Amino acid sequence: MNKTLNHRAWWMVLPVLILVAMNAVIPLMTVVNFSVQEEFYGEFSFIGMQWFADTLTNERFQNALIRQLAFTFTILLIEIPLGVFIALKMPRSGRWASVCLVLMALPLLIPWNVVGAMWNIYALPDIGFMGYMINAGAGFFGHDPANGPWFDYTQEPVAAWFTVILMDVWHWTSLVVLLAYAGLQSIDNAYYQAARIDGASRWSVFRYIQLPKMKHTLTIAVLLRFMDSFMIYTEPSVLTGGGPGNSTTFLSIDLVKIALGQQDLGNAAAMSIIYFLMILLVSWLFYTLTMQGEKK
Amino acid sequence: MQRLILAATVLLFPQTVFAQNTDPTGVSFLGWMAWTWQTALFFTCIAVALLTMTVWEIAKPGGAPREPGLLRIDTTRGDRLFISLLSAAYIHLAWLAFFSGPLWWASIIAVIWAAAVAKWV
Repeated sequence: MNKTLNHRAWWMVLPVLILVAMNAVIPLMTVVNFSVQEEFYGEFSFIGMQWFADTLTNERFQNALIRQLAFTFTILLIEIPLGVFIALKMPRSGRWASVCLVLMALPLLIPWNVVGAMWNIYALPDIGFMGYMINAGAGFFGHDPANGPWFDYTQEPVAAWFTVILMDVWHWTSLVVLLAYAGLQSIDNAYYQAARIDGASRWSVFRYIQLPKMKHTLTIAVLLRFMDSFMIYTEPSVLTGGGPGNSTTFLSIDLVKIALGQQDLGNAAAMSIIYFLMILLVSWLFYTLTMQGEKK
Repeated sequence: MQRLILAATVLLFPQTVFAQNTDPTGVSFLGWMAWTWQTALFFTCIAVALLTMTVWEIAKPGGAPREPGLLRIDTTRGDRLFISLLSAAYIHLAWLAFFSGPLWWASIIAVIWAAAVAKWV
């Protein structure tokens, strides 16, 4: 059967092209323009790659990047195994499966700034339930309350990190659970039957059946969690505001401080592009590895 | 007539759209983007590269897929262009971070690297 070649169908792509141009391409081009210029009272002057050199050799940027990487890898190390573990323990069918799925989806439905505000109150050392209980526990083990609260995320960097990580784990482990659960549900029962006949142990079933079958969805989970955590802004911004000091100032928080707080547009633009390139590289790596895996 | 309109648009569009908005009362659609000729040249090169790749793909479809090269991944010519561009960005950033010489050296390395990617990746 001969098909008529009709190029008018390309017009159907136009709306998405306009949308992408408006919310991605044009802003990115603007940022590139700003990154090579010095702005002073609305006047721009070209300074080449100076902002990039300044940013890359700036200790403040390097420290924010180290904090960002530490945060991202910490939450990945916690959320991925925990998510898989919970997914393995969830019922496969029946009423309780639905109940578990709804419960798991709940944290994902809460707006990010609300999550930050919730944990801000929840972890306060004097009136927050978590902060109060931790300090009560510390008192039980001999900490003298006269020396101030043992756990105070507004003053202590370690407590701030603990709270930010706990908040992220609470908020986002559900996503890993749901993806891992979807991967588990797609495994044919015949595999389990074969494993039972062979007398395979629980660990062998996980290692040689469930984990390989979940590989694709887990790759997506790692990718999504890496991207989200690497770009995290709202929750730590509401919870700690980047403090105490700069201890929880991640890249995006630092970027906003430079761009909006200091109105340092050239510096912020250069930092944005470096930040974007990092995300782009990791996205491409994950995408390529996933697609190559699928082909095999 | 259509070609005449198209030619006029191509000629006039950049001047009206990308002109710097020096006059606060002046209307300039994209003047607020603070264009410089260097950045305009940069984006023109990217656009020309994409257009060339499109024309190439129409003329010789298939993207010249290649069996795993040095990076052990299947690549088309579009993939190889993307790898070259992304690498070029990182080479320039690395040069700025670790060396103090002229940036042209980084550009030369990036071009050599792009040729290597086109050949062996």
